[in-house]
Amino acid sequence: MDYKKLLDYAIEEMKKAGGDKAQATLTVSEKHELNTESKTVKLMRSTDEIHLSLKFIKENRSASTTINKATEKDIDEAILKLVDLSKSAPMDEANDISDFAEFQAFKHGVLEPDMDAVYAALETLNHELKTTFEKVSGDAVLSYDRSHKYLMNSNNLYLEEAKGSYNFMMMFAAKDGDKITSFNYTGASILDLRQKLTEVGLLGDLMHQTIKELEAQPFKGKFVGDVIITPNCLDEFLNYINSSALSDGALITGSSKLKDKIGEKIASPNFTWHSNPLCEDLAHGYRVTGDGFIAEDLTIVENGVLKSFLLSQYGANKTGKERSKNYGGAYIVEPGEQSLEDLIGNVEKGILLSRFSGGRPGPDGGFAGVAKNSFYIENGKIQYPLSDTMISGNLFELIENIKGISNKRVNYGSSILPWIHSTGTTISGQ
Amino acid sequence: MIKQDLSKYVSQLEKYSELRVQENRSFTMAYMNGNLVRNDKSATGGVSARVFKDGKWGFASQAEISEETINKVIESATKNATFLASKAEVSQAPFESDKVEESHDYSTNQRRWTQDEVTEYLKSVDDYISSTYPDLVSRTVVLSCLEMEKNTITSDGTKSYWLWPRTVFYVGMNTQNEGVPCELGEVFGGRGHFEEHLTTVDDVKDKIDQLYADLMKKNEGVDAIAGLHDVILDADLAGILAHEAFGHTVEADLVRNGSIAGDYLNKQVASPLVSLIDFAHSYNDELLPVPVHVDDEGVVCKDAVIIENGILKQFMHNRDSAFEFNHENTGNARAWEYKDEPLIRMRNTAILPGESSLEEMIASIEDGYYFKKTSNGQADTTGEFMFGVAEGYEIKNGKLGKAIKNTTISGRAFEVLSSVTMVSNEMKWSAAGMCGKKQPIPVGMGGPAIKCKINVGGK
Repeated sequence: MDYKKLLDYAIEEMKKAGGDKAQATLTVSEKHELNTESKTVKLMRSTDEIHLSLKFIKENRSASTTINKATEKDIDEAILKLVDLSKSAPMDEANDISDFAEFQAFKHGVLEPDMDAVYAALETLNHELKTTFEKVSGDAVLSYDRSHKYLMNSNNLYLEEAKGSYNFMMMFAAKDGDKITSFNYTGASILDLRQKLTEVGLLGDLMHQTIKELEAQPFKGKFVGDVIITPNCLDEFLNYINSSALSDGALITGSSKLKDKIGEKIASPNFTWHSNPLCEDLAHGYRVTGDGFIAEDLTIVENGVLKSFLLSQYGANKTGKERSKNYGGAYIVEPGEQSLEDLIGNVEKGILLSRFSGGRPGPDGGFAGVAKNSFYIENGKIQYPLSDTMISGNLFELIENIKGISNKRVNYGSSILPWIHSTGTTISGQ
Repeated sequence: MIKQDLSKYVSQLEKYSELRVQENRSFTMAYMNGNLVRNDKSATGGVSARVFKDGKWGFASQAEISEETINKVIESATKNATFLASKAEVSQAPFESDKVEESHDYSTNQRRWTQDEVTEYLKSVDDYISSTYPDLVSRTVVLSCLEMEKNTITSDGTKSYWLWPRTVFYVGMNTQNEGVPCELGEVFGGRGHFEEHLTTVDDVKDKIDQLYADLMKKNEGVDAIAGLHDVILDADLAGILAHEAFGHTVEADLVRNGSIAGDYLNKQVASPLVSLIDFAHSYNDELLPVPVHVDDEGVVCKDAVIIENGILKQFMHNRDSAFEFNHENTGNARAWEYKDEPLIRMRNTAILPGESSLEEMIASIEDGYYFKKTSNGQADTTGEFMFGVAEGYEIKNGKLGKAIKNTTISGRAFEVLSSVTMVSNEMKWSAAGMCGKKQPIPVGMGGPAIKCKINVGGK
């Protein structure tokens, strides 16, 4: 099918329907996925998908729709729906589409799958689960995902992005007699299946940790101390900071604590945080943003100073602030100089936090939840795995109080993250 | 297109296979401080087939629904199953079940509103809040509608058609106290199209006024005191406890992977006052938020009695796990979109009501808390859980006291349910739930209020 011609049709028809501005994004994707159950490959799933998103703006009234059909008849029906939706929408000058840019066709990642390698990788993992990790149970999913995005708008913009990667996810727990552990999970987008899956997203290390967690003990007492946040857990905290203070919602409503802090110190000087969707090391990077701009790398925090928000075009128009070069994900935190052992060695009393199970913090940044798959540290040494232990603190204080960052990082395909040592968190047990 | 006769394809389906044509339709309008930040109508549909061969499954889907693509997905799913079966070390006979035919359409019989009418309604709610309560820092009004339409046949000849609409209408308010933000929201709606839930702004004014009054109390609220307390969990929290903290541990796929419930079948896991059921479609002849009659594996749905008078009686199954455990299959396999395989999911999970009144329960506590609304929840296969409490009150000398600020509650489901000493006689249901487990799926949750001991985060 000639998708460019189809998008030409969609844009022209939206203009004919009275649209002052029109944008259409078509994504054609396929997935080939293998799932394991009871340490064997159980399900093979193949899906072909197509998604067409249309944005229609008339007299500053905006409406959008997504359908998973791509014929001229489907487009005609979708446009009728858009016209109806937009009629009653309020006028809002912040509604817009992306600016003109010269045509570019981006290609990145693995564009031809090796399904034999996918099957072999899972069988190797199943073999290791049956031998090295007998006490661990869990279901794994390994897929090859390929997509081709076509984006066009009434500013004569036309972009294409083709990308592909292998995507792995496993959820697991350990059981030994009547002892059981909390579940844990990890995953990553990868470009090369020659590495074993136990080396992806720290899976092997985490499964060894999970076996140790069979001896988990509840922490007794309460103290304010140190926390070493593992890379698996750090991505979640960065996303919390984004939604609480850096993205559209927080800045449009004015609830962001960082709304007036560009150029000011908000974190420890050793903390530098990028959003680099173009990074070649990321299997799951992107070249075109969700609102239709060519993505660029940006630095959110440089040596502790806030450099950029993660605002979309609408958020920027609404707040009068600058549109960000992208709007998030692809997080890369610069490494520090210490080994993980050194970071642990510097902790007088604290925890190694592998997973945080808690609610999304509000605008004030306060967080509270259960420290899962975590270990108690005292006098510079890991003492024992923890159960029934709560952790609470504040996101903004957490990054201000960073004491050290590891020199080793983990590449999850959608982020590259180190271990971070901070302080000032409350740890409480029974 | 979805509601077509698929019988002609039965002869092409190897035993055992399923063929499903499905479309999910969503409609969302979101106002933030009077700005329409989302105005979207979307639909995702297609066809999928799943084929079972020698203990392995093959699945394939296509977005287009036509004779050609239906034949193609059957062929691809069979090819995938054959590939895995060729590597299987043991063979397994195909599943068999009785042929049934069910059709359930929960569409409204009322005249459907025009787009202008819906917009006007939302604007009138937003205008009411902004004009009545100009001191708010921000306000949010969101209408989020979902329609799932499924048409399934199996190689056993079972036919099932299901059209289920849901309306979630959310009003959120934010204020602040000396620069510290404070927020509270309320969810309205339930099963059915929005015409069955929304009428005029006058009908929600009282609820909005109450929400504002509760927000003001919370804004002047005190910190909860950390520790183990006597508390009353209202239906909202008792429902999420039943679903998240206990329900997931008795899903057979999680039992297989080492959940705590695996070793407790037919043992005491809760107070004798507690009976917990995952209802298929109705309770006391009343239709529940997510009524499922035939699951996505073509199995007739029955209530899963999980806890009966404190004894763990049953796990929830799909065809595979029921065969593996040699248990009854209560039809818990559901898929989110056409392109998804069915997974073991809950439907309408609740603790059965008891005999106490809420007033009696509050009066029985000298120093504790009454928790009304949850903000979010996380649970573990160990039964360990942590939920945010968005609205709660002190109980002092048997009477409600000051509101409390956001706090958390945590514990282990088995221990908390074992500590239950009173269960209210009132049953409330929520249809707004969306459960995540590889795929999202809408669920119903509910129950009475329960009195128990629980660990409160606080300060």
